[in-house]
Amino acid sequence: MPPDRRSRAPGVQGRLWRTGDELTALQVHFQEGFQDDEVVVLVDGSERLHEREVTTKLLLGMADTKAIEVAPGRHEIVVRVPTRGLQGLVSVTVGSQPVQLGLSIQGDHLTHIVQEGESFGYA
Amino acid sequence: MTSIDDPTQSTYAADPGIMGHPADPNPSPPNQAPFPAAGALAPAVGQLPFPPPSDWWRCFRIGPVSGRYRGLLMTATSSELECRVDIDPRSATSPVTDRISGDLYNVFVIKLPGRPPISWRIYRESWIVDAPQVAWARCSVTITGRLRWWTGTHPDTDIRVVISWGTFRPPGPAEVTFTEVTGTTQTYVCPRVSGNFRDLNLEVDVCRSVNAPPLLPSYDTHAHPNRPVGLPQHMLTVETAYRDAGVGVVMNVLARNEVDDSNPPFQSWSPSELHDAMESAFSQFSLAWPRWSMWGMLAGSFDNPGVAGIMFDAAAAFGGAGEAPERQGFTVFRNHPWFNSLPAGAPANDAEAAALRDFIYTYVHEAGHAFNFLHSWNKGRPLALSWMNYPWRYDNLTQSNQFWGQFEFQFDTEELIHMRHGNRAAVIMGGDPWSSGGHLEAPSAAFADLDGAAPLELLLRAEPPLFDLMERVTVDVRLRNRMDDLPLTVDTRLDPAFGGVAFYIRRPDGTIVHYSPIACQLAEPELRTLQPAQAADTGQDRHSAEVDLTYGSTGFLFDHAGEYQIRALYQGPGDLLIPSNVLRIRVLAPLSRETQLQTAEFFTNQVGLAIALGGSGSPHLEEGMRTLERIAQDHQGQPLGARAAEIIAATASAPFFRIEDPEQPEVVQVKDVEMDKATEFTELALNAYQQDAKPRLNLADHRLVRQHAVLLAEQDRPEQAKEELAALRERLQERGVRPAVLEEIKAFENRLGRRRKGRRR
Repeated sequence: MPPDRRSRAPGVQGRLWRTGDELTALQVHFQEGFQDDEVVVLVDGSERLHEREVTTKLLLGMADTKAIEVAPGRHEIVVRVPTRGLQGLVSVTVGSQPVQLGLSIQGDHLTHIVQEGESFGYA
Repeated sequence: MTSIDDPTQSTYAADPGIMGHPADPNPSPPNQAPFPAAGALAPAVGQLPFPPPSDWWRCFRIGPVSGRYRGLLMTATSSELECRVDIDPRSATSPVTDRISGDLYNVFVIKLPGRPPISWRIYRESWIVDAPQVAWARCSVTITGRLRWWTGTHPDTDIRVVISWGTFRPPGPAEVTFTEVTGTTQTYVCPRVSGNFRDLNLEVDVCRSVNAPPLLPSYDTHAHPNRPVGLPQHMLTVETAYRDAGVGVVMNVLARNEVDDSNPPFQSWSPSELHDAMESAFSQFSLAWPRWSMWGMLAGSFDNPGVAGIMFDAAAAFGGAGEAPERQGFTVFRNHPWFNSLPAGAPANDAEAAALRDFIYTYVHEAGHAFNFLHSWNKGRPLALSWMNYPWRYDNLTQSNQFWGQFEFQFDTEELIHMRHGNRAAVIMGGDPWSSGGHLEAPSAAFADLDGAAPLELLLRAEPPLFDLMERVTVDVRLRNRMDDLPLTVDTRLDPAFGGVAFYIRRPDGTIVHYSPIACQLAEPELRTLQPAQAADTGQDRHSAEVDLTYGSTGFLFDHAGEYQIRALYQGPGDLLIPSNVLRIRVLAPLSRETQLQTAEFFTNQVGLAIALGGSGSPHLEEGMRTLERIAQDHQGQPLGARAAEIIAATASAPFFRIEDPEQPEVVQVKDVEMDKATEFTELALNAYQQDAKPRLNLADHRLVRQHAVLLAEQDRPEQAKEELAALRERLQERGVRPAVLEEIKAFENRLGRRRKGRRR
């Protein structure tokens, strides 16, 4: 049986879903191909995430998930992986539903998946 | 091709069962022809040749040939074969992989008067035939091909399997003949034992917070409209999904536990907490592994709420708990959004049907990981329509929404071949680590698996299993009688120098080496009778010894940082052979530059020999002993220093004799007992043991104190000796050592007062 449990911060930082009338969650999923990588995510030119030692868990096909709150509308997302010398740009339109942005490294490319609404599932 | 000398095929061309036409010179491959399912007693209309022959019923077989056959070598009952034949459909939803494969076992039997014999098997090795030639006849099928062994070096070996059947009878037995290129043949006669290729015992426990129906998935394949055209309708469960894959799953419902997760601060599970829960709740966890058993748990939430399920029992680097053996358990998280609409009964709408579909997908997917499956895209098959793919990944790659519209609830072909015919160690739970599967050149019998219940248990322990580089690597070896009512006599000399126990070590680079001691000792067995398991409280059912594997005849065995696996084989009286568990230990890299530099000085033959000999006063090993002294002093308070100090203390505690002049071979004493030095280094070691109570050092602590107590008694200081022994008893009691051991120390303490003073050798 599980022993006394400590409280644990949830794996996803910040709020998961729509927060009030103004902001919506942009969920950034670091998925395949990361290995001790540094990842920087800029939204409309502002640095919103700066992660270090991002490593994909082979069991799940993901490394981590982070939430950024953004206003509804179109946003330019720049993703940099300095440890690989990689950079990518993706435009994301955020409405009232949360948006899922999956990022992967395949060879010497950054790839992405954008999905509105339901989160990716990992198993 | 059919065999022309088979008299049974005079009427019919080759085909499974009764199908085929006598005039057809090229009969259809059996897996493309419809075939009566198990239990079917008559062919469908239109499948018979017209006009049907009058004896169409002759050799009408019940059920497919595919399945598992098991039997003994004809010439000796000490070898057993389990043969998997996969050449015709087992059901409409179970694909054929056109393979045969097998596992070989050594069989051991103890016959005792007045009671049934006790038998167990030790797994030897596995093979596969990738492209078997299949020749169907009316009353038999002959399968031929060349073996591909998964491990070791073998001469080219051909196989011929003949399976015959009677009228209205299931097929079997299979007569399996191996022919080596040298001409040597061996034949096994194997009755059919199962329609499945492998079996699995699955226990699913549930957390209190989610203990509400459904606990296990059950999904009508037509419940959701987004499904493949022509998908057969049937009720899919974990059992039926795996039966289609060729694995017979037995749900161990009697052992179901409720895990109490109601403690309010507890919110979500981490991989290590899941492993800990498995250790407590899994009724089979304490049994011998690897084994065809798996644990599942329905729980609330994972640390990352995006995770619907996890096979947590893998290396930490992969996101698992990092505790070997691996691939024993998985968890499904009921609070994941996929399962929000999960109904307790039949689905009332598409959302509920989709939730049920996700539920069974997650169960089967996670159990698949425990069979050593990676995700489809990690195997270069991102578009596989498999349980092991992610639907959303498939849909993204194909820019469609069609995974569920095309997925037929199957593993892909390569996965089926692995699950049904893969190397046993790579498939069985608790075998090879997750995501691995290859064996390097393994010495014969190394890492052999025990199958069944042997009368003795051989257990290797080192707790914690962490060693500093240069620290002596010793393991606690324990023999235990597992019989309920029968005492067993064993040879208690567990040091490999006596030859009764062999040790194999898998090094971090994957190579497996046999530990070979620096010298072999020939001596009479030291027999001891271990009482039955009911004497466990007294400890009389077991015998333990510490074995030092640091240095052997090939040099240092643990001279690099990394993970090592250790396996022992105990050769008892007669042909009794007992393999141990696989002990994993980790050798840690030194943190400081000074210690790193010390390694060059340490890993020399002088130091190695000094350790293997338990210390030496020989001038030939002076430099090695000096190095050990420096290690003992530089690393005080740590096991690394303490284990070196033990060697110095032991050497100082005894005089040393040698032949100084080869011309005049006279043994002379060149060193006396060095009491002060013995005490100094004993205290150095004891300080470390007292500061850092590691269970793996209990035996060393015990031995060291006894050695010093004897020395003190010989120096007329029995009271001090008794004090040290009393302190030892107190220490060991705090560490949970059995009362029988403490009583034995007390008895030794009492005897010390009566010990005669004399020179020690």
